[in-house]
Amino acid sequence: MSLVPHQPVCRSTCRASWRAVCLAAASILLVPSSAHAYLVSITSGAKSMFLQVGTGTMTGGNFQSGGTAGNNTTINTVAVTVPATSVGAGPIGMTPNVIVVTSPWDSFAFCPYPAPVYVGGYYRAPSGGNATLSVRSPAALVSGANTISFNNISWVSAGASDATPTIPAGTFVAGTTQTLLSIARNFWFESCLTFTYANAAAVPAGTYTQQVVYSLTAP
Amino acid sequence: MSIDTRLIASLLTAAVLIACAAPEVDAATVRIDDSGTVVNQPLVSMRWRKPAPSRAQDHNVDAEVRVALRLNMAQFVNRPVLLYMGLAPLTGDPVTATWRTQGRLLPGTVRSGARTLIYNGVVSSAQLEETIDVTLTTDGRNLATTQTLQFYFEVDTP
Repeated sequence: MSLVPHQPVCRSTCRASWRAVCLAAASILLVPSSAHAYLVSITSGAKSMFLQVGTGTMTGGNFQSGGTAGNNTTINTVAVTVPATSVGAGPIGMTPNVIVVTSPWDSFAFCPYPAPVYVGGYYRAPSGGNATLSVRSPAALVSGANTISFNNISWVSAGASDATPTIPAGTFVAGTTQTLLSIARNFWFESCLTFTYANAAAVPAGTYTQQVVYSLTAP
Repeated sequence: MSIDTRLIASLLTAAVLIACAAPEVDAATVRIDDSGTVVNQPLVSMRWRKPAPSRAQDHNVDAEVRVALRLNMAQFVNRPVLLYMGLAPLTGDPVTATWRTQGRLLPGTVRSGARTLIYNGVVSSAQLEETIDVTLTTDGRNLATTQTLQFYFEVDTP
């Protein structure tokens, strides 16, 4: 392919006959813009998402320093022991078996609270709508034939340097899936949840247990 | 010649005159034939610079390609030239290309819709060959579909 100097072409057409001008004009219009261009096509970045509830696994540092998240299947527990003399006597704070203080994003001490459960994550995507953080609770905590409605468990939310908590405070609605947060794509979210047992009524002695499931769902 | 024909002819003539006048602005700019150029990866997947988004935000995606340039400079042998690499405008978010060279050409950066000087000197041979490593960067939040980048070369002559 030869060089195509723009100016000489135009000058020649200006001096040419009307028919030649028409042909030249048509030729100019038909020349594709990529006549002299090397092409590189780029595709979008991959979608990804991450959710940590309680204990997590990072290798090679935190996200900011290039660390990589691992799959951690640990199920943390949050518990409270109600003294016999306090049964039905009002709210009592619950304590997790593992306290995660630092954020996996930058190892910042985000949860410097007495008994928090760390919840954080992100949804990375080039397009599309928001992701949703939700929690599904069973109808009741169970101890043999005895039960305590999950409505008796609530939480408050906080985070160091957060003016307002990212995940709002709330109370489990027994036997339902609750939406906790709508997460815009490409934003990091995190909160420290501290749970409380309402302890509003006398219940038979026993160890009452159940499991809630936090989910991050993306379109 | 009918009135209609004369009218159409007049309009066409005016259009051609305008078209002829316009290039006077960049009369000394010549597009270079780079058809011998080879891109090692014509389709490249962009990667998030930060796989996890932060509150401080870094949403750029980038990728590297190696380009073996082969420019036909026959018309300019033994002449001083200003050679530019340009990146055609895009409809979406701008893309920035930053390149390193082996030394024959200048390293630099160009943003879509603009051009950057890549050689300033006398052309010594008809074929200018160089391998450059190009890093492409754009905002990953809006790169939803494949975009084709058109790079081109042009010379400004006196």
